[in-house]
Amino acid sequence: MHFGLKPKTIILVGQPNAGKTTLFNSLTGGNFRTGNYPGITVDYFVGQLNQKYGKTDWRIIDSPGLNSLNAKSEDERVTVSCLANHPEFGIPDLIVSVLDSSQLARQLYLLKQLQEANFNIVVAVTMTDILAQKHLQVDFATLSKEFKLKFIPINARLDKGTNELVAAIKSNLNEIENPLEPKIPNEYSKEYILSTFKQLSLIEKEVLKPLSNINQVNKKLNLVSNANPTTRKIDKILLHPFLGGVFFVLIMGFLFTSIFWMAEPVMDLIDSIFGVSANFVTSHLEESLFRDLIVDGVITGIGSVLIFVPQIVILFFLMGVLEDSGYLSRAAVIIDYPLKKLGLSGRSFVPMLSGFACAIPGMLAAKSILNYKERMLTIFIMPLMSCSARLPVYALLLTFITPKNKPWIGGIGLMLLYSASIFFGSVAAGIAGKFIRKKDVSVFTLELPAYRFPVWKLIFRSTFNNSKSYLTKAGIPILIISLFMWAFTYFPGAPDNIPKDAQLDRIEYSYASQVSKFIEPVFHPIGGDWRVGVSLISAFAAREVFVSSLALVFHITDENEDSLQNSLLKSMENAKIESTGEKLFTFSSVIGLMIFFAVALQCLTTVVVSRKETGSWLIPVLQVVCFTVSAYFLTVLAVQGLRFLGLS
Amino acid sequence: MTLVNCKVGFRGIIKDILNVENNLHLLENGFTPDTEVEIISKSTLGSPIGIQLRGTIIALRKEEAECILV
Ligand SMILES: Nc1nc2c(ncn2[C@@H]2O[C@H](COP(=O)(O)OP(=O)(O)OP(=O)(O)O)[C@@H](O)[C@H]2O)c(=O)[nH]1
Ligand SMILES: [Mg+2]
Repeated sequence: MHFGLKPKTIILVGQPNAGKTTLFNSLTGGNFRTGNYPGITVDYFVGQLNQKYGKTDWRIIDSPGLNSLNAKSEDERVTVSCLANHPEFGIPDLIVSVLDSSQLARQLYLLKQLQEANFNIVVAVTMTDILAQKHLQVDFATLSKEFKLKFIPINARLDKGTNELVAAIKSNLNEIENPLEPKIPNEYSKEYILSTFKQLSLIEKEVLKPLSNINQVNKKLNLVSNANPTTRKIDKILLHPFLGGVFFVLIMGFLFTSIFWMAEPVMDLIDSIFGVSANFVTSHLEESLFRDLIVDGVITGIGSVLIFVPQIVILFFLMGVLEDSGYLSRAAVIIDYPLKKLGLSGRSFVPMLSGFACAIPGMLAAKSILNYKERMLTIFIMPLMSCSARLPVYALLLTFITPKNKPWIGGIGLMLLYSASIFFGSVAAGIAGKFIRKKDVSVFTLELPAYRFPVWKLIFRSTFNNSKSYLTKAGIPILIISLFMWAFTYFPGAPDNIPKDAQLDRIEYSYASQVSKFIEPVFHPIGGDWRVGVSLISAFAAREVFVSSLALVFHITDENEDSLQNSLLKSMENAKIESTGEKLFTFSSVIGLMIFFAVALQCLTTVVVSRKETGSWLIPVLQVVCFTVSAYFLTVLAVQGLRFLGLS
Repeated sequence: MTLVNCKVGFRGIIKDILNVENNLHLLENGFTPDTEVEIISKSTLGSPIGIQLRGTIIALRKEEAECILV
């Protein structure tokens, strides 16, 4: 075999949304993001063939989808650069062309180009189930004869046909020695495109056959050009000029309110687990430094944030269902006009929605936006999208101001916060748009793929993986900062000359209190004191840390409650500003904190990614300065404004 | 008549693409003469327009759809 030689490079290439990443995941056992939207993958990934298919030295590469080898957007260029003698991979040994059979002629266009560019190709044909809904099937024998290539039907979502595909790849690689130098033209002429499509339409007509059990379908031509019948029906409603907008608001509203109420029962459970274990450790260990460290530093610090993991899991789950359904393209269509007015585009919608999970994938997803200005603006406003790191903060603060008997208010509050992030984003885009030059024309041209029922196994898997990576990413800063904050609020302790019963809370003698008194004046205008200030500063390590820091500075486990969250809420309720004796957490100061978190840029990784994606420091520096400074002043304005109106 | 003038439900054949040199991306998406199209949707303000062709639906903005003669 080929041992000692260069490993064989196999690239999956196909039009957007053809099913490349689904196939890649199935071949390599990977967990990369898929979704029923053209332009989910924006970078290439390398993987090895899963052992269950046998041992190989193949290097399998997934690539962003493209319509034509004449690349137009950033993500399409990634694919072309992988194909054309990539510095790392060289000339690919084999292309697996992934082809959506429900729109054969359009998809064969790219295959034609690949073939003419001298690539060695095996074709994987997807979506035969969608084609079957139109009572059609592909005549593979004729198709193979036309192209002199192997066509293998697969359904990678269900792991069907992948064994046959691997076998075809194996035999192909055994036959072929050295791949030819590819010849990719810079442009395809109008004449070329027209004549190619003419030829492909004829082939399509020839190879699409009615399913055998249907008696000769008479209007065959119509069927070929029609989209999926169910999809046509659903779109009559979801893209209706009036109802479409209503459903858009309902669907997005449901997404964001349900995060709050669906998580409730699970949260209570996790909450009491931590409460009980804190009590358990307290009652089973001798009073000591070590006990305080475990109970106050570790259990309280981590527990106060972990309580909110169910909400994050639900967010990932619902976004997964939405992504797989095919609705995202429709949402992009509905919102295109207003976004265009702001200098963005409907194509900014999916990156912005990804930004609700995390700004980093959101910024990367902007690669699929063709227009330079629209892409830069999308990246610019991304830190304002309400990412999942803000969720624990919002959830705690919302619970604090929500009356116990009206939990639905919290859900509405969360939806308002998400709407506010869209609003702030729009304002920022509107202002920044004035300063970015227009370089090129703006095109939309977005495919609206057939609606699909989610495959639950895949949704659960992606939810699990997303939640896991969220936890590993957030967990480390939370643990480190919690331990640091614990020490900072614990040492050096009361001076020896004060008798035990005359001592104030231990924290009053800590380094934290000594240092923080200096910074207190900054936090007065936003209705906070030094404890809020310290928590806010620590949130620059990771936004969730705000919650654990609050839990630590208020030493909530002293309360001896059975639940962490209730004791945190209770100590927030009782907290007073020392100098004035007024309540620390009031309606206005809590609203102020939420506004601060909505606007401020507190995430270092976002800054780094922004630098990479925009190619200079200009935008990231502007983001940090503008967003953080305006966050502070907006908060002051909100707090003082509310107080002026009598809403303390 | 261009696609912008057509109502939802309109079904017809593409006659020509205007300003072809700047609209090669439309051709590469399958909007070529003699292709059958149907208007599936129009958004509130008339843009974008959902157009069915070759087994799928593609949304185009008004400015793009204006270049398609039917
Ligand atoms: N019904 C059906 N759905 C499929 C099939 N293969 C993939 N899908 C679904 O099609 C959608 C697109 O799949 P992806 O793998 O993300 O497509 P992609 O080619 O990687 O798309 P981009 O990265 O956006 O270019 C997902 O919702 C998949 O679950 C198939 O054979 N049948
Ligand atoms: Mg992909």
